[in-house]
Formats: sequence, structure tokens, C-alpha cells
Amino acid sequence: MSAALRLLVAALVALLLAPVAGARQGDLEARDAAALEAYRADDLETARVLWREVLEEGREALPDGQRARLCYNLGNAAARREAWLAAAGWYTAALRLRPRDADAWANLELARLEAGLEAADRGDLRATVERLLAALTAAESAWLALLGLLPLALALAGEALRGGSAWRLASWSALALALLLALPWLRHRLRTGGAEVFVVAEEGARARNEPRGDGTSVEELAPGDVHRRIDSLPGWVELELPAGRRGWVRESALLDLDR
Amino acid sequence: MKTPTLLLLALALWFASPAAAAAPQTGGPRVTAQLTTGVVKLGEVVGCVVQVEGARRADLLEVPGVDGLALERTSGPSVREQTSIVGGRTTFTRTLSWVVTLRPERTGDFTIPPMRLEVDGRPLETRELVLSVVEDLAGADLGHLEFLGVPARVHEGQPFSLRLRFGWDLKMDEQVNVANLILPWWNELPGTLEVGESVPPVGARLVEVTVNNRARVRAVDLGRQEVRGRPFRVLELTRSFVATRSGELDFPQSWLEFGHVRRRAFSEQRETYHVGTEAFTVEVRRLPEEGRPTGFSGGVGRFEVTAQVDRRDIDLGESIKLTVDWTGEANLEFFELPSPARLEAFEDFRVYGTTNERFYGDRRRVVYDLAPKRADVLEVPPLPLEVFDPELGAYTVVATEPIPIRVRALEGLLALEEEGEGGGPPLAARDVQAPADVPSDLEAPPGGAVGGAWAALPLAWLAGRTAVRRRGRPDAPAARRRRGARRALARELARAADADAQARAWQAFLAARTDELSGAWEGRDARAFAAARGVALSAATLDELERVARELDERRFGVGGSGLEPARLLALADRLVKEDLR
Repeated sequence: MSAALRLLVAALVALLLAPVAGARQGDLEARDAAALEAYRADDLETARVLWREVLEEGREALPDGQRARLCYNLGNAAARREAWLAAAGWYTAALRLRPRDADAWANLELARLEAGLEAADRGDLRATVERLLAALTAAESAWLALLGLLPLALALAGEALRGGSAWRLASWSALALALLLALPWLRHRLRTGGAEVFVVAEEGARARNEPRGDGTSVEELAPGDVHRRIDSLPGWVELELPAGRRGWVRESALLDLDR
Repeated sequence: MKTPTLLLLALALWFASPAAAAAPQTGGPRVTAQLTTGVVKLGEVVGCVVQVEGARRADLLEVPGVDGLALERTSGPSVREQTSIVGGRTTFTRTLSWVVTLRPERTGDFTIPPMRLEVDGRPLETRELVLSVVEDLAGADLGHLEFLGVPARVHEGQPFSLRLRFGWDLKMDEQVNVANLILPWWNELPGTLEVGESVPPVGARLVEVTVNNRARVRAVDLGRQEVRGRPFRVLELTRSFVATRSGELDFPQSWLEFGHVRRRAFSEQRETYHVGTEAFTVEVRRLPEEGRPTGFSGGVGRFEVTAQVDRRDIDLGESIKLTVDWTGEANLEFFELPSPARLEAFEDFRVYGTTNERFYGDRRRVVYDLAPKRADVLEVPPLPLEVFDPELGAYTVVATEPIPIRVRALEGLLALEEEGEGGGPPLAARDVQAPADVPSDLEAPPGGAVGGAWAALPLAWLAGRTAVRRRGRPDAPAARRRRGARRALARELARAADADAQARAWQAFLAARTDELSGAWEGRDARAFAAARGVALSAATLDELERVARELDERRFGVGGSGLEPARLLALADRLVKEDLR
């Protein structure tokens, strides 16, 4: 098949699928609006179900900001039912997608306080650095990492063409700056290496050596703990535990943070 | 009066017993009981020392109650074992001792019935003891103890205070170095909560007194006061309570022991007096069901309330901090705070909750965070608190004064959205988010762009560097001189005053470009040089190069000596750089 023919076939397929995709987008928007109405009418359960559906089905179609909004709204629906742990989990998920949402931060701290958890931003140096690194979205951090390469490219060009200690110093400085600006991007890349979950069971969760209710208990997970997901089976999730151990936890006790 | 301490007596008995114990043991275990004194003054305590000798194990089963004698405490058993060898015969003695402390509650003669013990599995009894209690007439005359402000009745939840005023005759003030209040109800009054020490008046002199021989508390020294027509040194101690249940609060007899105690290394000599008060009862009434409002806060007492806001001029949606202070003789610590979110009067406000809530001893302060939802809101409405007033005997409402405010409307917006309102917990100012609330996302760079750029950049640098260095080190002095030749020429031409200076500058430029000494271009044939070096200069450039050299020489060595146009030299220099003269 020639290249021109392949291009033609691809264009035809896209043309045929476009109305389907459009209809699907419209359906998500309609359910989102219905959830909003239900929430305003104090029908929190309907709102919760609809928003979860939209979030699950729109995982690929919806941009990060809209998914963050859905997580935030789900957090509010949980908070109104005083399910504070679940609310804290949803707000955390929202902030991973839209890290500078002041409302989500305010509500997260409130939910964590009500759930008896430590504040998300403890205000110490480590928490401040973490919050600084997490302040950009994945797209923003990627652009920042690229931006950081510009001075480095200039300095390296100078070093290659002219040489000399001044250009070498400029190159090292530009490299340090580029690495600094790439840190948020690196953090995003490392985080997407495996989805994380938030323990939402109020009494905590028990990690077992096998995905069975009578498996040997290997760890007690405290409410609000965050762990990396390794594997999953119906109703069970395998998590990475401290000291390189692994354990299976019931799915109902967990909330996926990466939406 | 000389009163050996109970402890010393017990110790004396302890050390006295070996004499008996050293004697050969005949028969079974022996039980003895002895009072520390047979006659005691009202207010003092008396000890009864019970000893069992020659037994392996013994338990004091029962101390019989005697009307008028209160059992204060029982300590023991303490065990002493002794082995003695007399005339080659070894004797082992084991003695167990208890001290039962009794406090007489009235004068009279008392018979203490036998106390039952179990000794090595056998029941045994002490002998009957007789005690005479006489009134401390001197203490009653020299001392003073009274309760002030004792309410006959209070209501559940109502705080009340007891003022205990006590002292002694001023003429013996110099001798008094001990003041011990014997208050059986201290910290042990069921059905009450103690609500902390009252704040003494500013400037009050405080002195420490002992309560129940243990606790040290601070009393206000009232100084010289008239009591029974005589000058007394008077002190005052105040305790505040909240009654937690209906019924009767029994305050047993209280005593003041005062006088002089002289302490030595292993003993002390007490010369003390006792004065007491009668026992009394406070009735605690139930709160009436009749007229109890559904929003009753649990507050009982006389409440006063004040309120203030941190600002009166605000924009729509901005928050106001409403600070409310409740004061008065009431259970300030224990009532439930009113929630504006549940009040119809506050329906034009968003209530974000409280930002600060503290109890300061004499006031309860709460800061509410409110935001008006409409621009036509004119005041922060009264915040009511439904309480029970014991003086009125009825439920009443204590409310803050309305506080006028001015709300500025936002452009095109007279009221905030109503979304997410309800009785739920306080969340962020913007509740649920609609799709339009979210700004569009920044498009991420194409996948792999960042990683690719990071990988490509060092490679490009390495390739460029290698290519450049094939022609020599770019930072070598000759290379730097060649690169700087054009700039140096422009600089020198600007300074050159005649043809000679121009010629020197021009030759220096050519020498820098060809990595030679400056004099190398004096009278040089440019064509021959280019051919020898293999430099591909254009014919026009070579022609111009020869012309410039010739004209400069003519002017240098001719009449006048003025130079060429600098622009012409610089233009030729640019062509030479472009054609890579080296």
C-alpha cells in the first residue's frame, strides 16, 4: 500500500469515528451536568456515582484539569457525608492533577484534620520542598525542563566553538540550572512509574501475604497511608510495603490516587 | 501541748517489740492493739497500732465502724523479722504491724470493738479499746474557720464557689508556722467538677497553706480582720464547682489545724490547735423540663456576651471574623457553642466554621468565619445562645448585638452562587467546581521531547566540539588573536591619525589572521602568499588587497601622509574574514 493510500484510509477512519467520539464527549458532559444538579439538590449519592462514571470513562478523553475537577467534586461529596478519609483521598488525587488548586488544598487540610491525619503541608523544610516540586502539572514541568535546556544549549555551543574557562563555567552553571528546572519533570516521571493508592478504611487495612481473607497478615496499614500499587486481582490489590515487602489488601479499603 | 507524732509512736513500738520478741517463743501467735493516746482533742487524729507476733502470715480483716470516729486510713502491714542467739539458743521472731488512723468527729467516750484478723489461717481478735475525745477549747477560742457564700441549692450545670475563711488570733501570729486545712471533701466530692482555681484580686497577697497534710495551695492573705471582737490574722481560699447531677452534695466537717511545729533530726514537736466547722449540704436541683428550648446549649448561670467584627467594609464573598466573648458566673467551659450555619438569621452568610476557640478562665472566646452572600446584607445578625438562668429559674436567650456592615458588590454580581449550600461542614469558598471553572490545560510537549532533547544536546555538543577541534583548539592564543583581529583593526583605525598608523593597524590585522608577526606583511606580495598558503582568495579581493597596500605605502612615504578611508579598510577586512584568510 502506498503512503498516499495509507494516508487516505487513515483520514477516512478518522472521519467516520469523529461523530462517535463527539457523541461520547457529549454524553460525559451531560452526566457531569446531571451530577452537578444532583449535588446542588443534596442528592450526594447520585452525584458521587455519576462523577465516578464520568471520571472512569473519561480517563483518556478528559484533560487533566477536568479530571482534577471531578476528583475535587467527589471529595466534596464525600466530605458532605463526613467520609473524611475518602474526601482526603479524592482531594489528594485532585491535587496530583492540578497541584495549585487553592480550594483543593484548603479542603484537603480540613479533611485530613477531621480524619485525624497529619496536615498534608506540615510547613517544615521537607514538606515545603515537596510542595514546591509538586507545584507544576506534568505538562508544565515538561515545558520547564525543555526551557531549562535553552541556556545549556547556548553555553555548550559556546564551549564547542570557542572553548575556554569562561564557556566551561557557563556550561556547568547552565547544566545545574537545567537539572534544577528538570526536577519537577523528573518527579512526575518517577511517580508515573507505578500508580499509588490511599488507604481510606477508617480502621486501617491489613496487608496479607496472599489475596485471601485468611492469608497471613504482614502489615497493618494506617488510614491515610499512601502505597505504590504493584499488581491487582479482582477485589485485591498488591502493594509495595516498607523494607521492600509486598502485601495484598482488599480493594475496598483503597482509593486510587492516579486518575 | 506536746504531741509526739503518730509516726514516732509507731516507730517506738516497732523498736520496743524486739525485747519481747527476743524472749523464747511460747505458745501460738500473739495479737496486740494499742492506741497512740487514750485522750485526744477534737480535730486531732489518733492511731491504733495492731501487731501480730510469731505468725507466718496474717491479714487484718475488719476495722469496725464506730459512730463519731471516722476511719481516715489504714497502713500496713509492715513486716519485721529478727533472729537472736541467747545462750546458744536461736530464736526467730516475725512481727506484722498495721496502723489504723481515726479522726474523732465529736466529743465523748468511745469504745472501739475488737478488730478481726486471720493469723496463720486462724481467726483472732484484738482487745477492746477505749478512747476519750475532748473539745479543743483553746483551739476554738484562738482559731477561726467558716464557709462563706454557700448556696443552699444550685441547679445541674450551675457553677458555684465556696469561700473558706480561716485564721487565728493575731497575738499568736508570731508563733504560728503551720496551717493545715483538713477538708475531707477536697478533690473527692462526687457529682461535681472542680473548675479550676479562681483568679485572685490584683495585688492580693498570697500565702501557701497545706490541705489534708499533703497538697500545698495558695490562699489570699486578708491580713488583720475583726473576729468575735478580737483582731485575727485571716486568710481565704476559694474553690469553684459545677454540679453535674441532681441530689445532695454532702460537705463533711472541716478543720483547721494551726500552731507551731519544731522539727528535729528524727522527731518533731507539735504544739497545734484545732478549730472546725459543721458539716453542711448543698441541694442540686434538676433543670426543669418545662420550657426547655430545643436549642438549649447546656449553659447554666448568668451569661453576658459581647461581639465584634474585624472589619465592617468588605467585598462580596470576603470573610468577616466575628469574635464573640461569653462571660459571667456560668458554666462557660461546658456549654455548646451556637452554630450560625444552623440559624435562619445567618442564611445570607456562608459560615466557614470557627477559626479560634479558647477558654480564658473568666471568658469563652470564639471567632466565627463568615462571608456575606449578598451585597444587600446590612448587618451581622444577633447570635443567640439559649441558657438556663438560675436566678430567674427559667430558660432565657443571651444574644449578641447586631453589628452593621457594608458589603460592596462585585462587578456584575450581586450575590454569590448558591451551589453546595446546606448544613454540611465548612468547605472552601468555592464549593463544587463546574467545567467552566477550570482553566484549559497547557498542552504537553510531544511525547519524548524532553528526554530526546536531553539526550540529543550532549551528542550535538560532542560532535560540534570534535569538529571544531580538528582545526585546532579554539581557545589557543593564536586562534583567539585571529578571531579578535577584526575588532582590533576597527579600534586601531579609529585611533589612527595618519597613514603610517593605519598601515601598522592594517599589517597587524593581516598578521593576526595569518598567525605571523606584524612585520611579515611589510611589502609582501599578497598573490604569492595566497598561492603559497593555498588560501582561496577571490581575484577581486586580491586586487583590492594589493591596491590598499600600495596606496597606504604611497601616503606613508609621500607628502601629507593622510590615511585612507577607514570604512574601505574595514570592508576589505570583512571580505578577508569571510574568505577565511589564515
